[in-house]
Amino acid sequence: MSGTTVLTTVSWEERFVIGLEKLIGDESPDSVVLFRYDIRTDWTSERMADAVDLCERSGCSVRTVSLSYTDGGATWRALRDEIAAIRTAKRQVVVDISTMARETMWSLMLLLSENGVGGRYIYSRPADYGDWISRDPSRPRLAVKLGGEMEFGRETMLLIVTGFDWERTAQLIRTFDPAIVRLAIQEGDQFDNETRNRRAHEDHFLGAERKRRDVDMVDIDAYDDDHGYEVIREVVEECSGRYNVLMASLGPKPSAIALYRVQRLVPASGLVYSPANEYSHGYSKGVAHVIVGRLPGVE
Amino acid sequence: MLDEYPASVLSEHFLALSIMYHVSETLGLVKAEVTAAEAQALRQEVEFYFATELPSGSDVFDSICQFAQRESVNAQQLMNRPDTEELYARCLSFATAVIPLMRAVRKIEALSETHFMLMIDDAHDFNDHQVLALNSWIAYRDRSLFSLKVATTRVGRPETATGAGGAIVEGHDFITIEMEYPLHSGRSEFGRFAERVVRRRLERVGIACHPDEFFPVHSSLKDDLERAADAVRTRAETLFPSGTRKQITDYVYKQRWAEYIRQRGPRANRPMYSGFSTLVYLSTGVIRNLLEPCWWMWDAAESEVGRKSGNEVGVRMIPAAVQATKIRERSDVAWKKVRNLANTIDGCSRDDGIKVKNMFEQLAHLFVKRLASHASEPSATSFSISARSEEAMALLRPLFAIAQKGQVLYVRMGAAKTRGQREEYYVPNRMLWPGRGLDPHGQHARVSIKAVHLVSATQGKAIPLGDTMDESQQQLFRERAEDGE
Repeated sequence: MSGTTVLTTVSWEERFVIGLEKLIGDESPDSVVLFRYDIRTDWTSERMADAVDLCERSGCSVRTVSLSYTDGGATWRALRDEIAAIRTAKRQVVVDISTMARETMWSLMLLLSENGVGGRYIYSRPADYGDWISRDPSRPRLAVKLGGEMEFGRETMLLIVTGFDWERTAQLIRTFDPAIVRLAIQEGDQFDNETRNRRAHEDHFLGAERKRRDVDMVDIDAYDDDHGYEVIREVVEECSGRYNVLMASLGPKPSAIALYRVQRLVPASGLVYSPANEYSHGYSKGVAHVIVGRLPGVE
Repeated sequence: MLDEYPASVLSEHFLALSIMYHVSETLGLVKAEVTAAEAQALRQEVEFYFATELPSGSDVFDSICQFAQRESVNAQQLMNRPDTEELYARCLSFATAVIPLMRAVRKIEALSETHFMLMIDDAHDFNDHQVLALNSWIAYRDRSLFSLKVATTRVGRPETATGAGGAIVEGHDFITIEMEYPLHSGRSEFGRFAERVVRRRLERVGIACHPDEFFPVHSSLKDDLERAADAVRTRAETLFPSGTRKQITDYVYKQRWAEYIRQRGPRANRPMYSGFSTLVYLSTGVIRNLLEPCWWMWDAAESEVGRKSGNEVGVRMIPAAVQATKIRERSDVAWKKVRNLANTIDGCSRDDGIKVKNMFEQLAHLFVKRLASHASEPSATSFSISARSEEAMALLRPLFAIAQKGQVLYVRMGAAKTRGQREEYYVPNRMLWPGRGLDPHGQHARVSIKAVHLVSATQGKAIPLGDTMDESQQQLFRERAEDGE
C-alpha cells in the first residue's frame, strides 16, 4: 500500500472537523478527499475552510469532490471515478461515515469492495442531538446498485431501523405498503431513546396499524461491534424467498453498515434511502466517542 | 442512474413484464378451458417468439409467469452489477411482449373472442418514462384486442405526452370517468352508487338488509334532530306566514342542524354521528372515503359481538354507538392528516404544511361561528373564492394542490353567481367536521371568502365572519334538484 486516504463528507456539524482532526492525528493520512453535497453549501463553507486549513497545516493533500444530493446516479459515477483512482494508486482508505448520507456510504462500501480497496470506517457519536434532527422527508428511493431483485406477485417485508422521527417510519410504510413490517429499535435510553424512539413507535405502530399488516419490533444495538447485523440477518433470512425484502435505516448511522452487510449476504433484498428536505442547523453537538471498524467486503 | 433513453427502455421492460405476468396469472384461472393441444401450441408459439425455452413441469400460463419473472430478475441483476451501466440486451416492451401474448392466447378456442381489459391502478405513482409508455399504449389505434382502464388521482394526474412525441387527447384516445361526485345525498347518483356498493358487500357476507338498517341512526340523534326540525318549522311558519311549502321545507333543511347544536348547548358531548346517509355525506363523494370508516366499524363491531357472546353469527348490523365512536376517531385521524401534510406529501415543505393546517383551522373556526350565529346558511362547509388577485392565488394554489394530494380538500366545478358561468369551489373532506360538531351534510351551501382572507388564514388569522357571503342562490338549489334532492 502506498498511503492512506481519508474519505469524509463536509458538514456544518462540529463533529465533521473534530473527527477529521482526530483522524489526522491517529491515522497520519497523506491525502484527504472532502465529499461535498450540492445543497446547503452556505451552511458548510465555514467548516470546509477549517477542514482545508487543517489538512494543509498537517501536510495532507486535500481534494473536494462535488456530489449530488438528489441524483444518486451522478453521485455513483463521481464516487466510482474517485475509488478507481485510489485503486490505481494502491492506497488504503479510512471512511468517516459520521456526516455521510447513507446512500453515499452504501455506494462507497460497494465500490471499495468491488475494487479491492480495504480500510476502516469511523463514526463519531455526538455528545448530544438537537431538539429536532431532520424533517420534510422526500420520496424514498432504492439505493443505486443495491436495490435488490423484486419479484412479481410477492408481498413486501420492510425492515426499518427506526430513529426519533416516527413520521419518517410512517412515510416508508405508506410508500411501500408492506405486508410485514419489522421495526428494529435501538436499545438503551441515550438521548431519551426510550420515549422518543421506542414508545413513539409502540404508540403509532403496534395498535391500529396491526390490523392492516403484521408489525413487530426487534431490539438491536447499533453501537455494538456488529451494529445489529445478527438480529437483522435473522429477520431478513426468515422472509427472504417468500417476500420482496426492503431495508431502511433511519436510526443510528452504524446500523446502515449492518444493513449493507445483510444486503450483500441476501442480494435479492434491497436497501432504501429516505432523504429529508430539511435538516436542523443544530443537528448535533460535539463528539462523545468514536466507533471504529473494518470496512466490509475486503479481507 | 441511466441516461434518458436506456432508462425509458428499461422502465417499459419492467412494466410490460409485470402486465405479462399478471395476464398469464389471470388466465391460469381458466386453464381448465384450454385443451392439452392448445396449451402445447401456445407454449411453442411463446417459445418461438421469445426465443426461449419455457420451464416444463408446470402449465403453460405458470410457465409464462416464470419467464416474465426471470426476465425481470435478470434485468435487475444486470442493473445491480457495480462494474457496468450496460442496458439489458433482451428488453421487452408492450408491443413486443404483451400484444404478442394476447394474440397468441386468442388462438385458444375458448378465448378466441377475448377482449383484454388491462386495469392499471395508481398511475400517478409511475415514473415519467412509464407515463410516456402508458400514454403510447393508450394512443394505440387498434382497440379490437385490448382496452386500458387507468386509475389515477386528480392532482398529480400523469401528463398526456406519449413516448412517440405526440399526445393523447380526451374524447379521441380516452375518456375520463370522474370518481369524485360533487353532490352526494342518499338520493343522488353517488348516493345510489354507494348504496349498491354497500349492499353488494353485505350480500357477499350473507347480510340481506338495506344499508340504512345495517347502519342505523342513533336514537338520541334521531329524536333530537326531529325536535330541532319541529322547532325550526314553527319558527318558519311565523317568519313566512304566507310562505310556500317549499320555502318552509328549505328553511327547515338549512336550519335544523344549527338548531340542534344550539339546543344542545356548548358543554354537550359531540353529536352521535351515525346512519348510512351520514356516512355517504362524510365520504365527500369518494367511495374509498365511504368504505374506510365502514371497515373500521365492522372490525369494532366484530370484536364487540365476539366479546359479548362468542357466537358464530357474527356482525348483523353496526350499532349506532360504534358508528359514532369510529366516526369520531376517523375525524381525529383526518385532522391529524391535515397537521402532517409535510411528512406525507411529496414536495410539501414544513412551511407549506403549516400554512395549509392554519387555513383549515381557520375555515373550521369560521364554519363553527356560522353554525352558532349565521341567519341564512349556518351549516355551510364548502367555500368559493372571491376578489381573486394573481398574487393571492399564486400563494393559495400550491397549498390547495397539497391539500388535494393529501385528500383533505376536493375541488369541484359549480354554478357561479353570474348566471350561466361555472366556477371552482372547494369542499374540505367532510370527515373533518364531526370533530368540530359541524353538520356533515353541509347543506350544499358555500361561503364566498375573499382570497386575501384565505391568505391571512394561512398565517393563522381569523377569517372575518362579516366579510363572507353565501352562495345558496337559485343555481345551487337547481343543481341540487337536478341531482335528485
